[in-house]
Amino acid sequence: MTGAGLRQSVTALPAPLKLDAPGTLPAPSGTGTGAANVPTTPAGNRTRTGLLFGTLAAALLVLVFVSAGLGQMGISAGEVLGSVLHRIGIPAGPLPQQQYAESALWSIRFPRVVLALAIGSALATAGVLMQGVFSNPLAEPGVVGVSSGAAAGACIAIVFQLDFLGNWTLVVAAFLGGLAATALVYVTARQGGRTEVVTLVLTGIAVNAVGGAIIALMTFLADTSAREQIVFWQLGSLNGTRWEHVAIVGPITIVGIALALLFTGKLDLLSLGERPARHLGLNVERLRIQVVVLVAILTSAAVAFAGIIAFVGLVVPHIIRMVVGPGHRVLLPASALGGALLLLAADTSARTLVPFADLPIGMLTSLVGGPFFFWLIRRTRRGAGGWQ
Amino acid sequence: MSAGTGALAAVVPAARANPETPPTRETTAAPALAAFGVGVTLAGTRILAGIDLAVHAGEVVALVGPNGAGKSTLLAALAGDEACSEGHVELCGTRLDKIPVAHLARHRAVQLQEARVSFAFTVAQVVEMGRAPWHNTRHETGDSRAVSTAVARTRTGNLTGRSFPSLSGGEMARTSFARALAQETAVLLLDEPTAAMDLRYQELVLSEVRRRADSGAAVVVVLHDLSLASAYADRIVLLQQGKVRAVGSPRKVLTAELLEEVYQHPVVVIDHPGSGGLAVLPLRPAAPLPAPLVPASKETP
Repeated sequence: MTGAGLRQSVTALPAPLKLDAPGTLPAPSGTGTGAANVPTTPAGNRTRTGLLFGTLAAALLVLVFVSAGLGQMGISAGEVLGSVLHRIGIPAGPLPQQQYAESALWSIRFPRVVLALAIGSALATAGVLMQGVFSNPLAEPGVVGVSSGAAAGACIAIVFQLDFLGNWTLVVAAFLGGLAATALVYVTARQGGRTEVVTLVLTGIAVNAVGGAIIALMTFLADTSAREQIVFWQLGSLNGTRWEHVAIVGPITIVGIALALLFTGKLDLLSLGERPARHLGLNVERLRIQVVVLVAILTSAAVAFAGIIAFVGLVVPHIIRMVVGPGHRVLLPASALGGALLLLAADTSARTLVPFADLPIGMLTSLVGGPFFFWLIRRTRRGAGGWQ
Repeated sequence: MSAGTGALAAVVPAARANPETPPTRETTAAPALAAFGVGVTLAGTRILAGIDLAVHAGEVVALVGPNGAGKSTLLAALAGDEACSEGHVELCGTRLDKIPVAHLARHRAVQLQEARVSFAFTVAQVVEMGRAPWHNTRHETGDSRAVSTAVARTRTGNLTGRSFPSLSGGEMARTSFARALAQETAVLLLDEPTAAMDLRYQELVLSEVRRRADSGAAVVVVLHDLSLASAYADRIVLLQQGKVRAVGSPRKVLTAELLEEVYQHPVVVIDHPGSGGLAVLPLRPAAPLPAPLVPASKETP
């Protein structure tokens, strides 16, 4: 009890107090004098986490088959499943009946589905990383201008017809642009180990403006076909996805998420602030640089072939945090799954909402994400955290 | 004490060093923490100059002084957060800037004045973060015991499920103190840990600080409450304009004349009834009788 630490007797006080007497100091329930059992990971929380992962994985699996079947040529989910099973050597389930269905499925629909999964998880992971490293729930590659930096880099590569790295040129150019934008935001928006929301958003406006200006200049300089490609990009779309794109974006995403998982514990510590994190043994500067590079890699992989798709990195981690809390060990993989699910759903809507039209997916995510961002700003300002 | 302090306990004898020993290199045992002629300049302003200080195992040293005297800056220099522009700091005889951060975190814990957590981590999660330095060491097995003990000692058991940003200032400070305790280090650096706390928790926190010191830890604590400092500290370091004005036992340093001069306000120092400590109180002019209330708006010329 408290009295044990007092060196001097207090019994000579005018009104004698016996600090050692049990019951004099009401201890809050649940705390004894000895080591209380702290429910560090409540059972309810663990069930919740399991339930979340189960739900996300199941929804993702169902949506993959449904999405691949939807389109101008309707293929039932059962036929899609049958086609997949036959491909992997299990002769079960019905095969698609229509003519060309099989080839439409494997050369058009599946690459697009897989790329949507890869880009969605890359963007959501980049969002989690960025929010962690800025200690701010409103940081997102699209909002702070990393995406537009990557897009500007890629535009330059298109217009000047750079192909020094073959298929990879576009991704590398996007990466360089994204890295430059991330570094700029990192250097200018942080002050005293923290990033104020106002500064972050204003920096985002500035970086987006410069990125937009470079894209505009490139559009101006470009010939007709390059111009078409750039316009198509700014809207953001997965139309025309080929397996070659998947072969580039997929591995980058997988490696990027695997690397990101190494930082989860450190990102938790960073939420205490820069100095306390260092007191707990974290090399803050090194972590920041590693994470910033990783964000640029993930964002550029997403941007290179699909253009700017904003708000995925903002909406998904936020919803996941509301369900399972802010611990990055769960937040990061769950957000990657959630991002894949959200982007696949968005892309499926983009190509089926209006018959014979492929809506730009970037427009759809911004249509939903913009108001969400607005709501988030209002909410953050009211509550604690981030707005100071 | 804990497994965590074992590494340092071997280096630093647990016996209380003579509090009056001047901080020189000639002291036989290396102090747990020592500053040698430390000076800090921030943005062209000299905040600290020529600070010599040795803190030995088993000792509580209180840093006191008026606002802007450099207490927090000295603590930051001792923690290794602020680079010394002159002099240097040693932890157990090793220069602080030569120790990797990960290693440092197993030897000293720090509680800052202001605790903020960016996301809605629970109190239990925040306290557990104090164990991060011990991950992947053989002391990792003590994690849950260290966390439970820290929670019990700080009476934060009823808060463990709460989200940190929703806590009151005093509760946040208590949680941060629990986190520092869970780190189980031989050196504790606390920057005004009790500033936002009610008197019960002020006593609770400093009792625990005393207990840690009695079992071998070296503690440096910044305090504004001079009575509290006199009750729990072995030595008091009085800072004035970035320099050590006086250092020694509470009775030696906390004299009315010296405090009046340093704080530029008249004080009275009296014996705390029964405890053997001191109570330092500001002197106030006798209050004049309140003037009768006449609402100004009702007055008509």
